[in-house]
Amino acid sequence: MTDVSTIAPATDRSRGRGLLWAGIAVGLLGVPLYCVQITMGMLTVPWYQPAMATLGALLLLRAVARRRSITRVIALVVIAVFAGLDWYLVVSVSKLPSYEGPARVGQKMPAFSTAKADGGPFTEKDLQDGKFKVLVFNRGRW
Amino acid sequence: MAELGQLEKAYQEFDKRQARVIAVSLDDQSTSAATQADFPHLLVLSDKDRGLVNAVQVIHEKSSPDGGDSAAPTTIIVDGDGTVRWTFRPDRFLRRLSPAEVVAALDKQLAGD
Repeated sequence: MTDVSTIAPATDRSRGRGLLWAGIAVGLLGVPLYCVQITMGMLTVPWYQPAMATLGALLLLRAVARRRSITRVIALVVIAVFAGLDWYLVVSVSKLPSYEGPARVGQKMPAFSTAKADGGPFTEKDLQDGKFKVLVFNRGRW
Repeated sequence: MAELGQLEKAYQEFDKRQARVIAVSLDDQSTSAATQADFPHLLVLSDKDRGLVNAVQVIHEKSSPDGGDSAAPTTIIVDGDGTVRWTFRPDRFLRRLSPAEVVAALDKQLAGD
């Protein structure tokens, strides 16, 4: 009687395993890199993030081509979706319209009335104390 | 907030130039007070009623995580007379000016360019 093994040989199962792990690592590496970038105060557009996720998806595609398995296909789909979302965020969602005014160079700041953090009033007159001001409009404390 | 942290760290550069950095957002007063405590060398404004953001039209609609509006990242340099000298709006909200870039723009204006 002959034993017929249904388990693929170890060499077959491990075919492309390096690509699998490299794809997952490269695909997700952009996230911690962006955290490091923010921590370092470098507030530039992280184009590398979708690029790395795309590279990760390509490596996973290669791993699937070497040997198809549920794990590899799931990893490919997850990283590919992640790459797509990254591109969508960086290319489309984060886009801002250009600033056209009404604050125009050479003209007085428009009249306004707002409040300081302590509740005190603040108007355009407070900008006219002889010193330069840098107004930084930001998205606030989320 | 990372942008404000960087500007806070560079406050001496602005002091040297007798310039003041004013941070404006739609945060309410208590939130702005917390921001002011975090960044004592900046002047923090609470523009919840939108008196300033509407005047200069820097509202970015439905851009906050809860679907509400927020102030679009914009930098405006105003001279001591209240005249606008320089404006900057990044093409993407992921980009902000570094303190060095703000100081360079300020120096250019102080030099009268």
